Amino acid sequence: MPSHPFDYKFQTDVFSTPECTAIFAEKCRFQYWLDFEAALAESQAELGLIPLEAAQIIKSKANVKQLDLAITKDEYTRNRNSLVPLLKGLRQACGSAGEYVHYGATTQDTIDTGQVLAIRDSLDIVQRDAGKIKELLLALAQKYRSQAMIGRSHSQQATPITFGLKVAVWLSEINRHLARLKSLRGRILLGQLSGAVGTMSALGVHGREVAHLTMSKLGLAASTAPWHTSRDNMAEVGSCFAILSATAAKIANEVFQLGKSEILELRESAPAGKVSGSSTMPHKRNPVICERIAAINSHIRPLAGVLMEAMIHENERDPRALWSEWLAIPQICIYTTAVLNYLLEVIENLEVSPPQMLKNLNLYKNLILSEWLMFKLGKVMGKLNAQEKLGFLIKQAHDSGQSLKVLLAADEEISQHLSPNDFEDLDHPEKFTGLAVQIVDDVINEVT
Amino acid sequence: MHINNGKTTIGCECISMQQCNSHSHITDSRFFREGYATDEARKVFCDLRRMQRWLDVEVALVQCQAELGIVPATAAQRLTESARLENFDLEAIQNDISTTGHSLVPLLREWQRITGGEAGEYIHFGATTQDIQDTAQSLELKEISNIILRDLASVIVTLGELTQKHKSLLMIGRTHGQAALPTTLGLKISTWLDESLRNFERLQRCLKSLLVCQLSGGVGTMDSLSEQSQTLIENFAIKLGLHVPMTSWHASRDRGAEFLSVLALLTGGLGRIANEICQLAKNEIGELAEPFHNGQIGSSTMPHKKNPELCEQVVVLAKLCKSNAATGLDTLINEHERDYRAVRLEWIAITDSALFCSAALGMMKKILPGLQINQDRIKDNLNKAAILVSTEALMFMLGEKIGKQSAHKLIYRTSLNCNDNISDLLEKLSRTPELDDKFSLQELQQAATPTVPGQATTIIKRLIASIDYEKLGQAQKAIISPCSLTGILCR
Repeated sequence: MPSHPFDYKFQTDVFSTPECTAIFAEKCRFQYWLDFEAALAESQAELGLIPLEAAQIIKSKANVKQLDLAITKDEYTRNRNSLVPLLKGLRQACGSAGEYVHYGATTQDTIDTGQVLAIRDSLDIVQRDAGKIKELLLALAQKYRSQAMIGRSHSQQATPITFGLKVAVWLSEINRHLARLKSLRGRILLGQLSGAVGTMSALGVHGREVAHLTMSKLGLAASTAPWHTSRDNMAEVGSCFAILSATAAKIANEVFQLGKSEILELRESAPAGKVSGSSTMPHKRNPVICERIAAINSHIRPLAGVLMEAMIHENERDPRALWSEWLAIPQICIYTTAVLNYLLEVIENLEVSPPQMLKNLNLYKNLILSEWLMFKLGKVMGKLNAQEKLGFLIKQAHDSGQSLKVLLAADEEISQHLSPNDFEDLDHPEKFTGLAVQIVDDVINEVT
Repeated sequence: MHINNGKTTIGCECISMQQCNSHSHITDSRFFREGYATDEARKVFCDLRRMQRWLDVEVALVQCQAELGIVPATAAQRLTESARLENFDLEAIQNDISTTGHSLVPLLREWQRITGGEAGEYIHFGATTQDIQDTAQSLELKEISNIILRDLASVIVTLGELTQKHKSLLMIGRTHGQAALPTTLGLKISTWLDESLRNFERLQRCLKSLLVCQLSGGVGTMDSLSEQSQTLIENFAIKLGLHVPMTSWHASRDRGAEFLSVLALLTGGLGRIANEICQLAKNEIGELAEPFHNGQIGSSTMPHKKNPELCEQVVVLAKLCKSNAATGLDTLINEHERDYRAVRLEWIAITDSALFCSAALGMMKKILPGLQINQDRIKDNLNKAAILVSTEALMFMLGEKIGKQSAHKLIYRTSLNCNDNISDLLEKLSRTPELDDKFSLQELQQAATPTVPGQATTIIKRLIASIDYEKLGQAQKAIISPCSLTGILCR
């Protein structure tokens, strides 16, 4: 029975997506390697380095479905090389053409290239889902561009904002991620084919042409320098995914916080037919998806750290660092796609409650306009004086339970500077959202 | 950084270099250090105090060697007198460290110069640099641990008082950020108390293996320390108030790593308390608040703000200590018999974590005794949540007659249609055909009224009875001694 949560048979895909676990499934991993071997043989045949018929046979047999994996499994119990047991199966299937399998390549050439193919396929998912999230946020920002709510800092009520502005901030962040992913993709889709210590010594004088041809068949570019010990691209994948999933965790945390029983401005809502309640408290509707995002994200960041540390390779090859990368890459890709998949669900089903937003906004409706009052009064009595005076009245309001409006009206110095209109406005915090709406529009313009 | 006519210059042009005190680490910042370290803790790690401590350890060594007849008594006498950093040319030491790249030899050279004569020949006789520095680090940790235990004991005593005082103060308990069932404030605080008690134990236990001396020579063989090396190290440890290690720990850094883990646990526990206060201080909740004093400014631009600054800073410090615990684990990978790459990680990680932990405790000592508890809001929130909190009790009552699973389904379905209104829910339930008049409205209302949870006071009573107040009292009264033989302290 499987023991890793990725592979659970009953409670499936709590921390993963089937789409991404399929990429890192063992047979798929083998297939990437076999694809590399087929492309290599084909390229070498085209350049006249090995017989054409041999390459054709290798290509036709380089398929996990064609191989007897029992041989491979048995071989792995004896041989500690990561690739040779699979190649043994391939060679046997190819008969005499087996001589030309993996001709001049090193194990790490095959496995690194296979890993890049898996990363490419994972990136497809990540870029697609981040793009969908952007579209959903865009619609949300448009819909609620002028919906007033309270802004908070230090977890305390600060001054009014619009919900559209909050979403626009998320949107701009996701948009930067999309740009980051695009530029990452442009840098890292490089295969590896450079032989045991990066000299291409066994590939012969045509080594570089073989490399270019092989990689172009796989849809990758060839790397000019060998990168067996240069793992910066892999570390960058980790960093990009970690930053992206931290954004997702931030959004999920905000939904969690604003969904607390006393706030209820946003709520995670389950799609029809799904329940996320408590086993013992029938009334509970728990934001479990937001919580899962937080939990998964807490693993993604350290994995990015592992990939950073795996950059410290010694000499021309260093499996101590490489193997820690092998453990980290599948996990970070799978976790990242899971986080994005969950965030999509959260945003798609998000319940937004304008009445609760207005209710909370009006809880301390006079007090939260203290900044506006300070600037208004500051023009006539000096900003620092106004700050001091207001501080005094606010404390009085806190201590006595009277409204700030009443105290302002009772204060001779202040009341002469405030018009009846100003007093009227004090009861309408929703009017004080500054340039929020324009900022939302600007962000929307910028990202579309 | 200033940009003039496209040319970039770096440096503070507004003040002269003489005014610049070259303190760039935040724990030493004249303006902001309070948020990251207490003055008391900073003194433990002070640069000068550290060098004097190294001298103290060297003095202890030479005294022990004289007692065993390994070096002349007169030399030990002379060296004891001369080991006073205040008489040393510090600038010469600084320059020499820069030239030699060695962390200890320049200090020893200056000591030899000040001592004069033959006595200087017996300085650092058979020890290795790391013997001296590791032993001094143990003394440093003893000192800071006494401070930490003292302050933690004080936090624990306050938590005990709060737990008892509010043991029956009914409030809403929350899970998944959602109102769940009633609890009491005392019961909530009792979990803070229990965790802090465990951290107190943890630190005391860790100190038993941590506070050892180091005297093992170049590769841990004690080769150049004479045949009496075993007696020597025992006497050396007694003189310094440390334990004797069974083997050299030059390359075995589990003690420091454990200390860093314990500090991370301890500070993390404080971070949890501080974060809970922050959360319950949200305007929409308003149940707790950290003390806010007159003159304190919440926001530079919003005069009404009362920010939980102290609590937030404790959370920051907890996260910093957490990161250093991971660095502590990195120090475990040492190569061969000595590996300075590990020790140099300790120098920064241990210093920082100890300072951060002391600052977090200092803040908790302000936050907890002045904790503002708004009983009206606590009651108000509980009442508003009544519909939510009563459902478990209702489920069990209905369950007796219709089965628990059916009751769960029935309440879930009914509560979806009653707008979070308890009377509405109870009325609908009393009329539902599925219950077939099995329960009167009054019975339902009774079941839905929150009461002090059954076991709260028992749990609290048992916890309080388990506290060893005598031990805490001793920790609180501990005299924070500088562990200095010469009694010379930095200003």
